Amino acid sequence: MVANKKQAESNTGNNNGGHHTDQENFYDAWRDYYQRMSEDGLAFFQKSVEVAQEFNPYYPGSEAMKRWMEQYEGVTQKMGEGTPSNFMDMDAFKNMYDLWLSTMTDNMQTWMRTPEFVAQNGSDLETFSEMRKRMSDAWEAYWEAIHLPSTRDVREVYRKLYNIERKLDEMDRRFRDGEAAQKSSASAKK
Amino acid sequence: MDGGIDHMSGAFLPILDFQKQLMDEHVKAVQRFKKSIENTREWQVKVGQTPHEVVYQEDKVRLLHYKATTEKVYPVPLLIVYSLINRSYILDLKPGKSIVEKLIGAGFNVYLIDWGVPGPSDQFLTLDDYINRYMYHIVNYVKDHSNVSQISMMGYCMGGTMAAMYAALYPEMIKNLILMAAPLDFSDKDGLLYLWADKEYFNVEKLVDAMGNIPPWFLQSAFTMTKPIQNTVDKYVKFFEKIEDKQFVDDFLTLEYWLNDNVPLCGQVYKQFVEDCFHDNLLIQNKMWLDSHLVDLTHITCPTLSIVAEQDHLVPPPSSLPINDVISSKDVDVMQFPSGHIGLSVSGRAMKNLWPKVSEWLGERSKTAE
Repeated sequence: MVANKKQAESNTGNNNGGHHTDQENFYDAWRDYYQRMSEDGLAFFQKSVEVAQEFNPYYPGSEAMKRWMEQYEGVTQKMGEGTPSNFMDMDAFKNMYDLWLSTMTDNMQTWMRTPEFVAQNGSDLETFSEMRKRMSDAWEAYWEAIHLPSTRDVREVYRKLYNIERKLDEMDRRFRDGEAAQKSSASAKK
Repeated sequence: MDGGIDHMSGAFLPILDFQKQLMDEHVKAVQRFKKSIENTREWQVKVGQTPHEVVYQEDKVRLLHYKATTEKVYPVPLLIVYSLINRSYILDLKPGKSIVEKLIGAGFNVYLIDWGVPGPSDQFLTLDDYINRYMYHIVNYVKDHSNVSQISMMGYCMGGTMAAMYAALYPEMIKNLILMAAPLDFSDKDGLLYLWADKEYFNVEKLVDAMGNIPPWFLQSAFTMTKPIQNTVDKYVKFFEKIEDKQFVDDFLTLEYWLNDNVPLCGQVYKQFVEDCFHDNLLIQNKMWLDSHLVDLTHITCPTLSIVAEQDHLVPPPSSLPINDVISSKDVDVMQFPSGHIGLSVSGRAMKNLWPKVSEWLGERSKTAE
């Protein structure tokens, strides 16, 4: 999927006596990128639509939603039982709010512990991660196609810097430990 | 015909009465709303006001020093380690609601670690870096700065887990250890976060691979979801009911400011914490490794106090309490307090009833530096 620099260079052919201008290289890279986007990109967007349809935990067919509907009967029943038989005044209205609050809280707490909810939550998160990764990959392809450093390149630099920092710290610590050991052995000799 | 009208109005009287009550409530609500605009317009962010000095800095990490305000000062300083999630100024939220203020007022020299805001360049930092590098350097600095060989350490939330790890790795450096709402045992799935992070359902590797650092909105929405109705409806209803109370509005907005002032969490730290703690529960079993260092909690021998919030829905008590059965300390104490996770650090009751007791516990064990 990724149109990298090497591929772009290999597509340049022998025009202009084997010497390609920067503009031609740039054009080739763009053409290559668009060709790939038209195939892979389409598949990516199709997949995105599919996963987006599954992404909502409340979609009618989901197990989590079925479980919620089952439990919600309990909410309506409790609310029905708590509704005053005579006409409502302001205090009764506030009591109803309190009743709704406690019933909904209990219900949500129970629902969010069900295996159906937890499984849906986990799979949504995984789908989200996958979509996010695919989008990043598409951007990577874009930056690489126009010969600019991508997030992946920057990340690699960060990783290398991090490793250097760690090694420096380790050396520093060994040096300090050695220094401390030398001091203590010198004071022991005295 | 007239009798008919009387009869009709009689039947509709409760409805008309209710309508009138609704109108009255509506007028009150408009007045309250007007007042709220006045109150909130005047409100300004004032957090972390206790005088302090930044005495040490490494990368994005800063060490804040708060000097004791009493004549008699305990020789052993206290280092507070806050969680990598959220900002550390919750411990010095505002005057009257500040643990730091309480502790310096009780005679302790307090140091607080502000972890700063991790950026993309910090995504490879691990727990090993935080504990064996930053905390190691900071503790050495505090020892030199206070001219002592041991210090007291207090960790809050994930900071408590990190403090326990540090105390297990460097027991000779720690004189007293206080673990405040610290998640240590992850076997109990009573807490929703513990359940949602279950190995079977949560693919943390994929998430970190896609995100790099974990953004604040992700963690914040998970916390909100643990009590969705309270956090999205009831909290604001209660706020609106008390909106004319200036003190309440100030407390509410200050806390809301902190709640929404989130920071990203380094991707590798998050992955390691979820996998080793939430998934495999290695810490409490003394099987967790930080790079080449095994974290063996049995190495903790210093006096240890666990502070547990009885209604903590983020770190339920069963996650904090087992520590005393694992460590080797003979001087162990538990203080259970009837509050939630954040209430431990900001509630008026905690300020009045809990922190004087904690100060007393620490004071008794901080009289001599050696």
